[in-house]
Amino acid sequence: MAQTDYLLVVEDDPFYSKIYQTKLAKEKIPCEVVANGNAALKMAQEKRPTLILLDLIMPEKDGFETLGDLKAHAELKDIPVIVLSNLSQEEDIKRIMDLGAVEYLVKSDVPIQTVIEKVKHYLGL
Amino acid sequence: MNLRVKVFLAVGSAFLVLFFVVYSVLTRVLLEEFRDIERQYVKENVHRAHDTLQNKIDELGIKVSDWGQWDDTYQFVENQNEDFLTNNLQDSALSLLNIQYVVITNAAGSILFKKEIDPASGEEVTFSPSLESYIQSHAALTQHESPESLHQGLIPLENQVIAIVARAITTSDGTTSPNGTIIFAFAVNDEFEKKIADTIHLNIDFLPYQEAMKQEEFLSLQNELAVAGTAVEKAPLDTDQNIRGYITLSGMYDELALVIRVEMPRDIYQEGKAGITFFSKIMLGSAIFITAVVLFLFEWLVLRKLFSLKESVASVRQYPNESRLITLPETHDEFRVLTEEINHSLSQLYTIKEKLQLQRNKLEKFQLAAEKGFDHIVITDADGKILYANHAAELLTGYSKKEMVGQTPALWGKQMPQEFYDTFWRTIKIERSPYAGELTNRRKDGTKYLSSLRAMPILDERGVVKYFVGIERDITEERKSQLRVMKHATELEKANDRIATEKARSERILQMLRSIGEGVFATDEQQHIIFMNERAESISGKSLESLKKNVSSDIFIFRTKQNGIKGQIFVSRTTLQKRSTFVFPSQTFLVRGDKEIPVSGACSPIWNEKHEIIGTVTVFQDITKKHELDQMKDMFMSVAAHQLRTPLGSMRWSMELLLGGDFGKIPKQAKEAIEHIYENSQRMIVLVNDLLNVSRIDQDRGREKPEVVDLRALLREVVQTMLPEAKKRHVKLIAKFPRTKCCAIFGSPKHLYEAFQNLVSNSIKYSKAGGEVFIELKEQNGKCVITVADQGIGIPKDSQSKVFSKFFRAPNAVHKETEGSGLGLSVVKSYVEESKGTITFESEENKGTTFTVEFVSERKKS
Repeated sequence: MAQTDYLLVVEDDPFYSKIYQTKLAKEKIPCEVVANGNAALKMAQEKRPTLILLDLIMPEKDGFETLGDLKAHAELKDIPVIVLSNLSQEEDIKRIMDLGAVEYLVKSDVPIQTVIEKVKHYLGL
Repeated sequence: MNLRVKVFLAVGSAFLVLFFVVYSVLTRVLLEEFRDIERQYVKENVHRAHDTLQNKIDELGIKVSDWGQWDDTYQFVENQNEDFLTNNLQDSALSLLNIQYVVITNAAGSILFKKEIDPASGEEVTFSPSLESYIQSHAALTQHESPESLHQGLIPLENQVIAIVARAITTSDGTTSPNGTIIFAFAVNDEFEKKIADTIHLNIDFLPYQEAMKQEEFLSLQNELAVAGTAVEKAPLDTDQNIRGYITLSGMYDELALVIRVEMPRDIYQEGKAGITFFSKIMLGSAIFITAVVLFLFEWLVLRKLFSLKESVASVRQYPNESRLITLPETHDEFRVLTEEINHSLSQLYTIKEKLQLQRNKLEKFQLAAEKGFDHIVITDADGKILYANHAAELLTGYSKKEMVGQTPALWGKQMPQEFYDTFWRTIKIERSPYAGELTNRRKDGTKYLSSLRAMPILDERGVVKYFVGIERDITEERKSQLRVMKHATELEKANDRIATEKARSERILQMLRSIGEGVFATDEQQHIIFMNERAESISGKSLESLKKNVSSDIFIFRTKQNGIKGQIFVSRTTLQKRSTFVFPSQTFLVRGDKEIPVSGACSPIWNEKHEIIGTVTVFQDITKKHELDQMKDMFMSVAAHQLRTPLGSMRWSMELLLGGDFGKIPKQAKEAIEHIYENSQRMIVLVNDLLNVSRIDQDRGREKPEVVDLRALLREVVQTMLPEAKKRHVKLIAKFPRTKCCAIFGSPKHLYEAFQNLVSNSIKYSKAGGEVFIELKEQNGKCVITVADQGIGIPKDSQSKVFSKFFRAPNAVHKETEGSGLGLSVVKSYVEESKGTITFESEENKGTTFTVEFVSERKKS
């Protein structure tokens, strides 16, 4: 695995952050968890992650905005983004997919294992 | 005989008559002319013959004069010397001089010398005794007054006529008185005839008069020939026989002596005739030619067009019921004018015909009216004699028309006192006024009836009574009908009252409709708005009076958002087409200016008594507030779901980490407790999702874009997913799917997946341990049929009608599985119907339930 295979998780909820960190550490997937969009954009520019897991409802800059900025950025727009949220309205999902996310998962509806499998798939593990 | 033949005969006979007139006139005149010329010619020739004879006689006279005035002759008479005779009167000399007879007498008339020479032989023959005796008997011949006396002429003898000259004999100086007479003569006989004929080239005959008169030819001419010296010609008319000319010559002593006949061929006459024949032929030819030309011109200029016109007129006559006109000829002659005139007349005729027809129709109406009239109508002449009676009169009096005509109305009258009839007749006949009254009459069968009578005189323009018209009516009937009319009037009044009541009620209903809180408008079957109430006006901002166009879809523009696409819906049109009530889809908006007002409503057809659609009525209401509330609810649900899920999700994942041993091994009891918590949290998640789904479905917002769905693959996935659950509950899942790829339908894959997962999940949940759940998919009759059958607790009969209701759970289900929102089947039904499917079930308590879902196969549609 090259140095570039790196996962960026954007999640403001400390419980979810903790779960991500625990599970990803367990799976030995190199990652960084940031709590808002601004941090995520900064981190993405610095570290150039291979995949981004993005929450939607966040303080400061939410996931919609963050995804928009990412896709507007010439160097970052090709990074695949999986959106993980507890919003499940069709309108929200459509908006996200239109913005360019590769997947949309409702957190409460999928087992954590499914998330890990998706991450591994995108990281090529 | 048609015109062509007539014209042919007329022209032909005219020319023939003309020809014959000209021919006969010409023949007569010309031939007469020719005949005159011929006659003249013959006469001339006759005179020529006569002159020739006279010349011969004159020549003889000159010869005899030479001999008479000569001393030798003189001497001979004195001495009768033979020398004189031998020297001068020898035969040859006489023959040479053409002298046939020579006689010399003395002064006393005694013959001294006589000699006859045969002209043919030139020799002396015996002197003719008849001549000798003639000379002896006619002393005048030898008597001379003067020395130069010469007698010459013709003398008729018995058989022949002799031309004779007698000269007194004197001395050569002529001074002495004559001492005798010398006579020369020749016979006018056949030889002479021949000689003359040769000389003057005529066929000539000299005939002694007496001899000639014995012939038949001359008898008819006797009178004409009795005058000497007159030339007479004789020609048979119109024959080519020779023409003959005659002249009678008198003798010396005025007796008729000789007839000269000249016979000539009719050359002139024949020439004339031939000329006339030739001219006639030319004329006949010309006549025929002119006739032909005239006929041709007449045919070309007149008859042809006339016949064509005749044909046209005949063709017009062929269609008596059409107002046809004649086609105008192309030429611009009198025929065109005639055709135009005919057309003009035809047009007038048609007009007259139409008028007549109209009048006849009108008259027919009157006749029919009179004939079929209910009233007895009788028309009489001024004496009261019946001229006409209608059918009603027959019915009323019992007499037939035949019996009535010619009679007077007394036939059925005479029932009233005489004064009545006196008054009646005085009124109508003398005062000439209408009469009205009632009287009793008697029918033919003897029954009497009361009749109302109206009678009036019909006057001509001078005011003289022409007819009387009597109208009668059986009053009994009239009274009955009066009663009926009154009854009808009462009923009518009642009906009017009812109508008024109905009208008032309708107006009240209309007023109610007008004032109702919902917007109401109605259209006719052409979608034109015929009514809209105040609310409809206030919502739409339009009023019926202000509308120019009134097609409902132009006034009330309803738009809806379906599958994310906005479009106008035509409520009236759709209702008229579907012939059933059309309920507005949710998310329907009424366009007002640039605003869209959310509305709900329905459009229904209006049926009349004959079950025909006569229009539509639409009721709708402004649901802006409800809409806003829905949006708020939606927002709330979304937020609530998110907020509920967030802890549930993190709990789920945490427990998964725990159960997955990510935090190290946990004691068995603790693990069981965690599993229990995990299941409950899962239930809560499902509940949250169900709630959210129901909320969305209610608003018709959860719809997916439809696409082609492979039901076989989808069901396989469902079964695969549900296998662990079934295993856990010890339920056997049996799936029976077609081997080949099939059962494609058009629908929402995600929702269908959820629906079938729900169904299978239910079946597993409500099965007893060891039970079987049977899932079958098949395609039949263009439909994809899915059955999910279990052997579980079943649905109680009294609960079956509520199975698809929201939040409903049957008591036995609650008993078996305490957890459950009661939303599952209602969501399933919504999802199946979203993909145009149907769901039904059969169930018996404690035996099991079978759900049957049917979709229209995509293959069938294509």
